[in-house]
Amino acid sequence: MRSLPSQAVFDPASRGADILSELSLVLTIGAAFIFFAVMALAIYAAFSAPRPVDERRWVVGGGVVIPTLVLAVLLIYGLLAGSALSHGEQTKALRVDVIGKLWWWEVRYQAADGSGWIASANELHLPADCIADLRLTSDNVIHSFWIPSLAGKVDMIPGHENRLLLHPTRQGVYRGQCAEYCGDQHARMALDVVVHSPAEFRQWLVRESQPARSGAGDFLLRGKRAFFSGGCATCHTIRGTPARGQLGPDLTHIGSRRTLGAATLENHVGTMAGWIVGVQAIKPGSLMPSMNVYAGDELRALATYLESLE
Amino acid sequence: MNSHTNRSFTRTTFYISAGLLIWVATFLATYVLAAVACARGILLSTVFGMGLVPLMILAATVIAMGLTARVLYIAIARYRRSALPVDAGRTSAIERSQQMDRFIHFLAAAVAGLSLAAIVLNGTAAIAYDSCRATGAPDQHRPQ
Amino acid sequence: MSSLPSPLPRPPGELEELERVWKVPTGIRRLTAVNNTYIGIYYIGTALLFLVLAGVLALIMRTQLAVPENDLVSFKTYNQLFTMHGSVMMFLFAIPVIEAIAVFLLPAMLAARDLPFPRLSAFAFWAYASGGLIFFGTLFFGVAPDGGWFMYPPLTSHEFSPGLNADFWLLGIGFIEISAIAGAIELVVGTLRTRPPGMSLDKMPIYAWVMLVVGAMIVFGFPPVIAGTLLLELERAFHWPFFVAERGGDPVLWQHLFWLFGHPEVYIIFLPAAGLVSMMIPTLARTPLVGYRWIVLAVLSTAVLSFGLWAHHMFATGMPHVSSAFFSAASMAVAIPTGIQVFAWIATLWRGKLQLTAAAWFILGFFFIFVLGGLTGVMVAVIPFDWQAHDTYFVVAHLHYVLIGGMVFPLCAALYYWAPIASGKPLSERMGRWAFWLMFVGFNLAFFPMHISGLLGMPRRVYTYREGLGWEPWNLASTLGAYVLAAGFALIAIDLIKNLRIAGKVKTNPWRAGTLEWLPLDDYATRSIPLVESRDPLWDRPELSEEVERGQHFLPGTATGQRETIVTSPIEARPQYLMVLPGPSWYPMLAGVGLALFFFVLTVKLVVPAVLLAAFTLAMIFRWVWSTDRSGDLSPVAVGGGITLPVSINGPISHAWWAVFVLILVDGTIFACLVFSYFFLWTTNPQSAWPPADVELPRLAWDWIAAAMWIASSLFIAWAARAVSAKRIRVLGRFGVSLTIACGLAAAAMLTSSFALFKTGMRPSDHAYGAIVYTILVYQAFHVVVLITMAVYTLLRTYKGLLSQANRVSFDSTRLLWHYMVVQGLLAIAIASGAPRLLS
Repeated sequence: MRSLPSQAVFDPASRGADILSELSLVLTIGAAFIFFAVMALAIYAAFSAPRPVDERRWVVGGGVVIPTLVLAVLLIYGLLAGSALSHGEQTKALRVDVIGKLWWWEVRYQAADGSGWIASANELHLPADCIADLRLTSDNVIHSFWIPSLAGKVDMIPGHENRLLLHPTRQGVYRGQCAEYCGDQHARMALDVVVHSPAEFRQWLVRESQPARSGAGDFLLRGKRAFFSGGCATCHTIRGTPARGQLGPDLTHIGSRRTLGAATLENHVGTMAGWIVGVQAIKPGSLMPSMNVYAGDELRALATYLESLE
Repeated sequence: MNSHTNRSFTRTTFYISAGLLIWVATFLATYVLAAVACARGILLSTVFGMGLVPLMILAATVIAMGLTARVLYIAIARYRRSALPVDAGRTSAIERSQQMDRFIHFLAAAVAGLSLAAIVLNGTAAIAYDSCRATGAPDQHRPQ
Repeated sequence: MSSLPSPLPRPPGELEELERVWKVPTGIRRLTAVNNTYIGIYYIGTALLFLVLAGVLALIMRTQLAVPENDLVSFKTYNQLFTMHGSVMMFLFAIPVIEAIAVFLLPAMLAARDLPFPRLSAFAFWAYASGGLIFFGTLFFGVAPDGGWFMYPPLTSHEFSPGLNADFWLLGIGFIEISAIAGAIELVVGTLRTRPPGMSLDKMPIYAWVMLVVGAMIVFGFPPVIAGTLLLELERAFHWPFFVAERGGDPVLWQHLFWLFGHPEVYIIFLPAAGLVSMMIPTLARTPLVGYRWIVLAVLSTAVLSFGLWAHHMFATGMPHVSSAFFSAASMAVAIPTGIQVFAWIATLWRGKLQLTAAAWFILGFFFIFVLGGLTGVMVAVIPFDWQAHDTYFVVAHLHYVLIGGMVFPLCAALYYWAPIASGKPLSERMGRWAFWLMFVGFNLAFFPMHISGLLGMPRRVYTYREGLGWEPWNLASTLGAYVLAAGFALIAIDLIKNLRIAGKVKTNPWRAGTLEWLPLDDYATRSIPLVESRDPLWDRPELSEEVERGQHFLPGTATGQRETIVTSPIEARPQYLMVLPGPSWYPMLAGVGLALFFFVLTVKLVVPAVLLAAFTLAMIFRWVWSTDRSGDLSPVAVGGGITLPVSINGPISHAWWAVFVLILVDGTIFACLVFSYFFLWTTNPQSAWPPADVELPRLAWDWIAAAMWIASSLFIAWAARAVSAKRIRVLGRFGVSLTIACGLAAAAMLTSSFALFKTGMRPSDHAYGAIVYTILVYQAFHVVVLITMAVYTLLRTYKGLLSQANRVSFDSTRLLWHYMVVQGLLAIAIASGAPRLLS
């Protein structure tokens, strides 16, 4: 069985997720303990011989005093944990905008010198041991941004800009998925988050900010022509080419991404070709039509061209 | 039937639920206060190192606790004063009426007691105040 | 008691007369029955049918999710399936079934002959049944709602859901809103006013307490969703931008309104089930309930605290942490009363010895499942944990643990426990036990793994999932469990079909219970209405059944030759008057079905049929209401025990006043929700945009004129009220003229306000500000139309000589609602004109 990156609550990889994971564990154990205690009492009460009860001890002691104390402690614990998850205002944080789309993620990084924005999509790259300041919005319906290994979910609501400060501590790849039902393809709106070492991240960001560079060769050129002849540029941008479409994900470095279709497929030439002709079979209802206008060879060229955009 | 006077339904209802109504008022007041303060970015100053909003939440909580404690005190006193009839099957009309009294005072007192706990829990929210910060986010007001 | 209220021997023919009056029609006219036992059983049966239908949808979903990347159903179908599963379970099964059980059981527990408004129950049932079936039928045409059962805009707004799907959802909800409000009136008035003599508040069965409280919760809990659906339909139909961010709206407003209803709703479902448990445990454990008064405390506090939880469904929306904290605190607080109930039940079991009947097994299963669900509920009330668990399968597990555990298991217990009251004999204990074990094992196998798949990152509402996330074994287990659970339900269904009948005449008490519903029953309910002296009258007075059956208690026959029941005072249950009840009729049924069809053809935009059906429905309602309010002239009657009661009564202690008062509370809460929407949108808009800079406010002079006319109309109504005390009430006299002037003034006031607002040039589709202000105005206009209709109806009755000092309910209801409308009209002016001036 192929394995995907972790999407589990109990696999924390950030400051915040550590707190959440510990809190989840405490709550689970506590709930299990109370559950078994109450069940044992109930079963004993149901099956044992009748005996007198002291109403006050049972109802007031068991029903009022103990629960009130437990709940008060829990409330304070939860509120303090919630406060511990906030950070002060960060001036040096990496600014990243993530915008929920139907059904993919637009991602924009602020350049290190603050000069501009680097567009990307469907994959989030973050440096470990640094704080990233995520601005989460949507221009369509409500989505929810959720990477269980890094943080709890934060909704992306039209007209709101929600913020999430992430402080990843462990390098690796983590998976997340839209958590608020957002229509037809809610099930296939996921993304991978790659946490690099800070140095690696800097290199990655520099690469990501460059325009597309495709290798030379007739085959790739043929693929590039197919890209434009098929009308792909109406919706997609490939920086460094005339493709300036805004409706679909930016494809400038599509070849370097781990997945296709918002973490729906792995990314290689085969899946790329399959995606191009069969998007409506793989992710029906997507805005992108199945591009079955290409001859077999042309399709392979197009897929190869796109995969070369690293 | 007996000649015991009819209790006012409205007054009895308010008496029994007094504690909960105080909780409702406290909940609404503190929630609206925090919501408006955060949405409009007002009352953000601090007094003696404490934010104005949590201070106001605490003040509301203390007032509500005082009111509820008063209801509790009155209801318990009345409960204690009401005669304790035999709690058995067949009773006279007078005794049944006394059982009723006692029941209503008990309810008023117990409701007030439980509401007191709920009001204290509500006041605990003040510790979560951190200049209107949302989930894992830094200082923030609504974007508009 | 030294002597019983009615002496023996009873006069000959008394019982026959009682039987004749309460006789249920046979053949096709069975459909006209309004007796609570019949309507109650139809109601329960229909609700259970929806349980089965929605359960089948769940099985299809579980089959789809059994393995990753399954393509059994398309995403389009799946999205409709989960939306319908949730909506049907919540709105067509859970809420109706609790009302249905109350319709069936409550009068028997209170030894009342029927609910106070039998035809209203019949109407609510028929509207619900036909509307619900139409709603469900949309699935077969692929146009069922697909926005999730809480229908968040913008996904459900006209832009992203242009089809009829979402409109059908609003249609389906409309019915449940109507039948719920009707139910609330029955519950509140029924529990407070139709108790048997002597059953003071402290002797009411817990179930009656619960239904009283639930009635009150519906009164305050349903209005937010009524307001919400109104706004959503206005946005969908006319593009009024309440939820559109670019035009000053906010999608979060819907979430507030929906959950302001949605969370109390959970307790509206759970509390009655808990009430049933509180009734069954003492019988099955053969000891009175421990902590009766503590349970009453728990029910009251749960009801109120449940109104402070709504935003715990919204912790991830980016609310300030301090705001979330209030809801977290209330979520913790509401767990305390639930703990009280659980410990009172355990203590009762401790003191008694549980007889392990099928019902007892279901109750034990309820303990197990519900306590676990309650604990995961406390977990998700901890804000940071909720950020992880929210909208995942963990929450799916939690909500099914509390709803199936907290409601369906007690319901099954109740079916096995109370079936004898309907059929005269119990269901099959053996099948019940089998069903229990299948359901218990199946349920836990289906839902426990969902906690794990949720924490492994599986979001809810996904039609498929990828392989390799570790979710496969848990999903497969859930699917297997779902089928086992379904097998348990099937067994119960077979048992019910084989054994449940409406027997009419019933004399049985198989579990040797102590409460009044186990008195000998017939279509007229109990032969005589007992004097109640304790909480478990049949235990404390074993001879009561015989006495009641022999007619030795109150009202052993019919005093007026019509259907009737005793109305008692709300606290001490002292007899106050005799209420005459209506008998079988086609009109409520035709009005209910007509209303359902009307809404349906309106939704599919068939204008001509819609107009015809509206006219038909109104005519049926008119015929139905026209025949009421005629018994005021009857002379007082003796009901036994030396008590002579007036027959029907007017004024503040009449049940009609109480019903209208409940209606006004509902109405006022809807209005309050619209006002809340106004101020909520104020906070989400920047100060300068509320009202938007280019908006001109209505001129104050107009507002003063309108306000003066509102107040004047009230004064004319008050003047008309004084004319009702006159001997003759004439259309062309003081009464008719002042009523007509009041109508004219209200219409003029409405037109003035509308004109003033319209003249500002602001239109409702421009900006959320205009949208909400116009909505408040439209809501007021709706009242003017309704009240003028009521006034015309009253004038018509006056003209026909049907209005008198004794028969004046039509006028009194109009009067009460009128004064309310005037207060609301003044508030509307204050919001439309005063608020923007104060806020800026």
